Amino acid sequence: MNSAADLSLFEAAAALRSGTLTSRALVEAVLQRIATREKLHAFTHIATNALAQADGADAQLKRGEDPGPLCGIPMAVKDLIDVAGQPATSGSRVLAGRIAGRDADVIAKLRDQGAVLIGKLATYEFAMVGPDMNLADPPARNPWNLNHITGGSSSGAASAVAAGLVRLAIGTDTGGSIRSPAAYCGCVGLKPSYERVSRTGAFPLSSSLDHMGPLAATVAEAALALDVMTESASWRPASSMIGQSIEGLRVGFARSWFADDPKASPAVIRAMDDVAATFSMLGAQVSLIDLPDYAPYEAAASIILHAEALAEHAALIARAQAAYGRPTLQCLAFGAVISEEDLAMARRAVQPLTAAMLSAMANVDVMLTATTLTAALPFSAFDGEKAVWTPMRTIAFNLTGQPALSLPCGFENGLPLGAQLVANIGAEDMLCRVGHAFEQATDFSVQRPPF
Amino acid sequence: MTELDEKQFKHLLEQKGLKLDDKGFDAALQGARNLKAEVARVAAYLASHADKKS
Repeated sequence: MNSAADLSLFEAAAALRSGTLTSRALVEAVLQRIATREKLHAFTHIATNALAQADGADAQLKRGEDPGPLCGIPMAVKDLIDVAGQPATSGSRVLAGRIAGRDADVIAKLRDQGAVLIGKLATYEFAMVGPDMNLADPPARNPWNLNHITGGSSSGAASAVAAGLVRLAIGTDTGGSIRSPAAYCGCVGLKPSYERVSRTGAFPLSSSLDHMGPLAATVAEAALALDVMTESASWRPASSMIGQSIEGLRVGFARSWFADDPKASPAVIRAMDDVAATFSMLGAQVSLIDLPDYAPYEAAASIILHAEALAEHAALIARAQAAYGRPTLQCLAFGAVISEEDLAMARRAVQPLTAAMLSAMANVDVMLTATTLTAALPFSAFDGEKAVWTPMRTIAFNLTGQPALSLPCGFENGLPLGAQLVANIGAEDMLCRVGHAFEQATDFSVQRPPF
Repeated sequence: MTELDEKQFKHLLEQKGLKLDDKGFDAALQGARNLKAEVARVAAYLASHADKKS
């Protein structure tokens, strides 16, 4: 261990309380780490008051006040989410120069705990599509290979966590925007149950599908962060079962859901088979399960997403259309073909689609499937003129509102792969219990890209 | 289902105040056609779901 920046949230919290570390020293170490890895373009802004925030946390702890486990801990926030006093452009020239007047709800919760909000992270423009090389902020790069994408839209968040710049970042997920970059970059991404975390203060992409959640170095750290971010005490704490054995738990392996797709990389299939074998070795009862066809989930979600996104952007399009990136404006334009009847029909499909998914998972505690079907593509696969979609298995759970966790599970040609665990609504505790057990049995979460 | 034609799409974009250059229009038309296919897919899913229930 050479730098305080490498301390886990738990180690840092303990050191801050024992007096062996100050928040100022921790933040200085993190800022130094960020400065040495600027080529990642993970950060779009470093808070000018980061050290002042750290001093405030140190003073609180010195007075014996302890507002919570994240006091004095540096973390960063996707630039789709408002942090008072910091730039809030949603990665777009459309909002150039905008400074957030107040914290998003979730940021206020973190700030109340004394968290040090050290800066803003790159995002695909308005969380819509990317990478776009022609925006004001260059796209974040994959820390395992700078010539490859991070995935998105929480692109800077995944890059920053995976590269060890921060242990924790806050992102958003409308169709996989936390989980797919987490998988591509090699960190943990947790999309919670719908409405577990307030969305107020984040620029909406599609309010029916939008979720906020953490990207973290480990499952336990993601669970800790989610518990702080959670809106109401009625949700079971995500961290409450961390460390418990998974012996006897039922893991449904939805192998055909990704392996039967010709786009699935053989390396992904092999890695997922190894994940299932690891769960068996840990005593879980692993069985193959069949999920409903993915295509209707993707179809209904795409209709809802494009219709809601275009409605959300109507005023900005009227005012500043020329400032949009080309791929983003084109994607918004897709939504013009969705009639009110089409949208109503897609919304009608949500209930039976959700019921079918829950029914397919009725006899398991968690479901296991791939997050993405390949490793991260190279930038050269994107021409910047139009959107290119990468195959993944994520948006179904934005539609059903179930919690889903992506965690590192292997490599293909030196690039990380991600396994996805999904549970019933409100069962983040089960997800994190199973995910943590996998981490403890393997070494994927401790591997870091070479710098 | 008849395929969305250029004239229809241009009209829909005008209604939303969207102006795309030729290259952008072609790319958006392709995406819009794909999205319309998704509408047909959901309609088929709902029809089959209703059949199963009855």
